[in-house]
Amino acid sequence: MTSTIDNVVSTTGLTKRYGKTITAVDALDLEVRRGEVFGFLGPNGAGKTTTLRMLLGLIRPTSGSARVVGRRPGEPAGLARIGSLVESPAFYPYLSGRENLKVVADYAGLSLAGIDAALDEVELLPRAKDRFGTYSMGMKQRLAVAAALIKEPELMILDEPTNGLDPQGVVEMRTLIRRLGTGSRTVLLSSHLLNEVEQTCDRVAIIRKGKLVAQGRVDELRGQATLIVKASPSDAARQSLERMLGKAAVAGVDGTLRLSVSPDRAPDINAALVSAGIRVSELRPAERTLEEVFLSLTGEAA
Amino acid sequence: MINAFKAEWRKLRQRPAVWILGGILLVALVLFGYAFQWIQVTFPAKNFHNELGLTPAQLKVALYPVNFVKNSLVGVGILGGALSLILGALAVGSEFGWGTVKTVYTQRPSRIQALAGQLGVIALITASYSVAFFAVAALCSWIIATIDGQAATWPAAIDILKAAGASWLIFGCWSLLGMAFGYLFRQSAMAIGIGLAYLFVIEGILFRVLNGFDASWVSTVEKFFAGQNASALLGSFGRVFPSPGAAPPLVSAGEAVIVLAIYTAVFAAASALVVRARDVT
Ligand SMILES: Nc1ncnc2c1ncn2[C@@H]1O[C@H](COP(=O)(O)OP(=O)(O)O)[C@@H](O)[C@H]1O
Ligand SMILES: [Mg+2]
Repeated sequence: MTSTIDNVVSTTGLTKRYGKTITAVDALDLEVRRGEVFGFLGPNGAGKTTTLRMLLGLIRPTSGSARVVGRRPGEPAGLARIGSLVESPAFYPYLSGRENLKVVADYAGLSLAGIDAALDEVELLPRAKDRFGTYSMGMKQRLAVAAALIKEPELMILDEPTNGLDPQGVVEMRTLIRRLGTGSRTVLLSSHLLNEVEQTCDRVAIIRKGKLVAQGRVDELRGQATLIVKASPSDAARQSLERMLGKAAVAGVDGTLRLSVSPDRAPDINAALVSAGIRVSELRPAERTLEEVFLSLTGEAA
Repeated sequence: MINAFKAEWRKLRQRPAVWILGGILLVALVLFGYAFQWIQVTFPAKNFHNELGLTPAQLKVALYPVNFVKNSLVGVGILGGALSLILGALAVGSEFGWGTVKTVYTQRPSRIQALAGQLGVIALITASYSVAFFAVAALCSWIIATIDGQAATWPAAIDILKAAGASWLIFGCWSLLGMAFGYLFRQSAMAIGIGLAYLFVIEGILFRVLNGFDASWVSTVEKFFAGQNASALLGSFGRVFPSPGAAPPLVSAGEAVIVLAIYTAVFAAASALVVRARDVT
């Protein structure tokens, strides 16, 4: 793996074993580029949290190495530039939301001036005086995001930030993540939800049982786009398309044909079918969903 | 380190448990060190009897300002030690219970810097326990002297300072044992349980039983134990009414200070080792 200066995170053969039998993360090579919202996708138990903990220096890799914002994991100069929420938000229950952020600011060596702006950003300002122990799950998650924000970090590591939120909270959190990802800030977002990653991320890595299954742009991983055709008579349509594109490019069931060709060819195909006396009732591009990609790559539904 | 100190101080100074523990120490001092004794000697029972053959009026002198250091030191050893141990165990153990260790370790300070800040704040809090302890003892003795219409004469300032310093060392030593146990067990309940069991059972009961055997190896072994050195250090200040035939302190005050300082350093180092080595999940 080459690691260039613009990789905010890069790992080489990163591995974590627990005991002799559990390999939580297995020789992972990740590259997260500056400014992108990077999705780290995998089912529960895939090793996402373990990986993020290693990136933050909370746990030591069994083997392999990682660079995060140009530093070794856990180095103070690196930590100062990272905002993170790993697994679940953890703050002092007897302190108010605002006091908790002051504690974080003290640790990070920051002035207390940015705290109310961060609370406002996550819409917690009205509850800033209440004890953290009285917060709902959604409020706790948002306080964690605010704690990351006050550091004005160049990298945000968010581990399943929508876990445990109600549908309304999920929508708000995703909106917030998209907003966080604007500008030069890099966001590393782990999730076990395909649609979440699809909605929010530029690039994605997919892991399963600790191993990297795929890494790339979301649209690349969705795979080559295909064309969906509905035409009658369908047998005639099929035969003429197979003549035109080759047998392998045409698949279909029940009168709906799926063509593995670029959607750009839709006008040609339409013209050819019409001139052969075939009536086209539907012709549209269909992208593979990440769900299908995931299924084909991992052989398992998320 | 200064960042970690500021953060830790912000956390602990707002934590009720920290001041409740200090409050228990002060309330115990007021009640057992002064109030009950004053009632006993002011309104003596008909069959009043003192082991040393002293009268209530003679005993009352212990409660006056001139004796406030000696009279109150008794409470420093076991009670102050136990409360300080709980303080250290809570300061560390709760961070694991709340999962806030990871929040602390992902901000900026290294683990050792975070620990150093924490040690600094615990030192500050135990110092404030010690200062408050003698301030309250002085106040109680002054109130009693005033009630009795006695002029207040005070111990030498240097003796007060020495006593406050010795108490701080003892509180600090036990609080650092509590911290080390907190890091080792990653929770407060077990740290407090094992810490108090050690303090009361090993340092308290076991050595009292062993002392009954009057064997020379007992005192040789005792010299290596923190609690026995703490007792010796406190004993060096003397009693208001020394009981004849009581054993002299195990070691000199100077030696006790050195042993306790070594223990304090060892407990801090033990925390540092555990903190560096462990995965935080
Ligand atoms: N401290 C640990 N001890 C033993 N096994 C662990 C530990 N932490 C995680 N694991 C195991 O490692 C695997 C990956 O866990 P995790 O990283 O939490 O997955 P994810 O975050 O993707 O759901 C799981 O099988 C989990 O049981
Ligand atoms: Mg996880």
